[in-house]
Amino acid sequence: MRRTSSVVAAMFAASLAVSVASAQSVDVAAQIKLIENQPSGTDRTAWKEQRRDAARKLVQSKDKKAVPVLIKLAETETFDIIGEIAIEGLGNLGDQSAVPVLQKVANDATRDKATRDLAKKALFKLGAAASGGATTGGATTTGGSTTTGGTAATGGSTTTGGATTTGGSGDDGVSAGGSDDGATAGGTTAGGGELGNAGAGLLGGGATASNELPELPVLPDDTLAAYDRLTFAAGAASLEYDTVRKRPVFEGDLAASYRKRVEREQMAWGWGADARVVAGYINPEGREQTRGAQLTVAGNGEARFYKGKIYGVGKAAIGIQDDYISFEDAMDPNNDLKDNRFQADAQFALGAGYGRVLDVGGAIRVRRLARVLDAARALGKQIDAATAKRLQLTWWALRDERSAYRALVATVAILREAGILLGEPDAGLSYELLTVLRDTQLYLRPSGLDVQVAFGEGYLLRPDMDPTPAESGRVEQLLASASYGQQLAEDKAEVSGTAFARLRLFAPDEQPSPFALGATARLRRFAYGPHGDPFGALDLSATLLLSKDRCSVNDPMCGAQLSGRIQGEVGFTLFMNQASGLRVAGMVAQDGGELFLGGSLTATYGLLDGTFAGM
Amino acid sequence: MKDLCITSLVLVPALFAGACGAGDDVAEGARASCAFGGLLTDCEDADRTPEAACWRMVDCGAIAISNETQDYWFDWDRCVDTIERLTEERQRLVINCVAVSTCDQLRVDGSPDQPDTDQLYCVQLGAR
Repeated sequence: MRRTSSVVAAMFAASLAVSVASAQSVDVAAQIKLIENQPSGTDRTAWKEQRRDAARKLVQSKDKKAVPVLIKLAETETFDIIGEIAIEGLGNLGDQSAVPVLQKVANDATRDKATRDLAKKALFKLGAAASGGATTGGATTTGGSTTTGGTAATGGSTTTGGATTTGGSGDDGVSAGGSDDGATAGGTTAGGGELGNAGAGLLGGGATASNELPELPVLPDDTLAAYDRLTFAAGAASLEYDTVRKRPVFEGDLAASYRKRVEREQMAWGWGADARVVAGYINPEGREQTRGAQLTVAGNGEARFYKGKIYGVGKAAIGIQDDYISFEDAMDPNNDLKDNRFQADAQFALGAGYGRVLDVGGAIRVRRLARVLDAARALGKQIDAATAKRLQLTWWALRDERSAYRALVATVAILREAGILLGEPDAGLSYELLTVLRDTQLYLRPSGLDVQVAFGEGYLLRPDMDPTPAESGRVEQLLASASYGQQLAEDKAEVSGTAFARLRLFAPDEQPSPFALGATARLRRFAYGPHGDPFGALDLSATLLLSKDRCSVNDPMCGAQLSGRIQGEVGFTLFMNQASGLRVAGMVAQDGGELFLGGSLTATYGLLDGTFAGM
Repeated sequence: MKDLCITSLVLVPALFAGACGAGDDVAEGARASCAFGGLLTDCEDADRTPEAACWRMVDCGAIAISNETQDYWFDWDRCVDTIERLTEERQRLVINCVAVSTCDQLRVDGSPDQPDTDQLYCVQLGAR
């Protein structure tokens, strides 16, 4: 534990140092000198890298002295991405002196299309037309595709008096209505169809209807995180019959689950519902027959209201479960059994807490995209919050797709449109982007701290049992919980933990008042191959439980005792190739004086088929 | 102090632990967060293995980890044995049933020390 704390502290200190360093001012003169003169002792390849970094720093500096240098780069650097960095930067710097050069680039047929698109976008940010026409009134964008009092870029229709531009994107769908700031303003997105076509063009898919972006989910502007999960699981449902035993057998496990949650600055709310059926039917030859079914339906909800990091919380849960079994003995009808049990819960809780834990898997996916682009020297600028939101909502909208094709097309289009992805992605980069989109290790990645205490009240309808440690009727309880999550090492490591405590209050004499408390800590480390393929994962966890059932006053024979369990698990999964994998896991637990040890090694090795057929 | 007993350290490919009890009393086993309290303390399904299903019954207070006072009392050890002796489809029935049941449904008269096995609904579903 101490070592973990040290690592966390060291990483925090390191990240703080990086933050401080990035906040320091840029030495503009030194960066210009680096761009114009190759330092002695530096080879040309290294210098090219340094020039690109210097150009980015000049853009970040917002210093007007950088403008002439960037103009020169935009005009003359046609074979290095430093030219595109400069074009993009000129748009961000907002200096009108860059307009003529940018217009020249935008209309230069000898420049590649990606470069011309960047120039058009930069011109749009400067309020200028790509064709050389003057802008009046200063073009601004809101909502993604509306121009006010300005002139649209190439191919766009002119609008006056704030009318909405229609068909403004011309041939590429990039220049008009494409502001990344406007794209998600107000939680809505416009121009998605244009982007879809742009992305399809980039990847050679053509502008088909299937490539158009879907309607994106609408989230309030102050949304910190949200998720929407629908799971439908048809477990091992089977129907069998064989003529040897003349015995039909049916068994099934069907389940559906839905969860939705939205975290906003001032409030958070979520709800979920589950339905499940487990059924079985076995009918051998003769009198014997077994039938059983179990139906569960449940729903729950929670709402939080924040004041800073402190919040008040209300929760509710309601559900039913019904179990039915019918057994007919092969020989003796007196041994037949029919049983039906029904239970129902209706509960609520009120409480208070501190902080919150968010699932940041989507944000990690965005960060991984940025790292992939940076490594490929294709990152024009960092992915801003609006673009990150737009990317994640697009993936959200496409989550039911069997193929990742549309997600990839849309991702590339959004990144290009925002000026983040420089140039068209080649095959290698496209593959690496795809591995990020398909990465299944980016779900349920917690971040934050949440501590909560609540008082619960409810009514539990239960079958009569006497005497048992059962709770039924009105049940009051004190509930406490805590959870924590942190992503480390460029999101390749995760530390998380949960804790709970529960005590029944005001129990009647004939019922017990059990308590339980426990905590689990977990460390996960994810490994990736050189091109972003998941390579494996290490997981390590430790659990501590303490509980006592406590006896009812009316049960002198009850022997409830304090129980404790300590448990540790470690596992490692290695993906060797597409047909091979290795999983090693072990656990040790001590509970009630008993020791449990377990281990497993599961390995498969193979190669995908190599095949050939003459034509 | 109970004797320690280690069984079934299994490698390749099947899982997992085993247990035994020794001594002259009952080891109940610690409870999970969802053992009591209704849906407000609901927790995840169990894994679909005989061992995990029987752990869930311990977690819920339906059965004890070990009960050496009478061999025939239904504890964790007997729970695993009982399920593993079933045919495959009956195993699946029992395991699925335990995995999705609430803890209150799993507890029966006499739980956890001396559970009335005739009332163990999920076990009856496969063992009859």
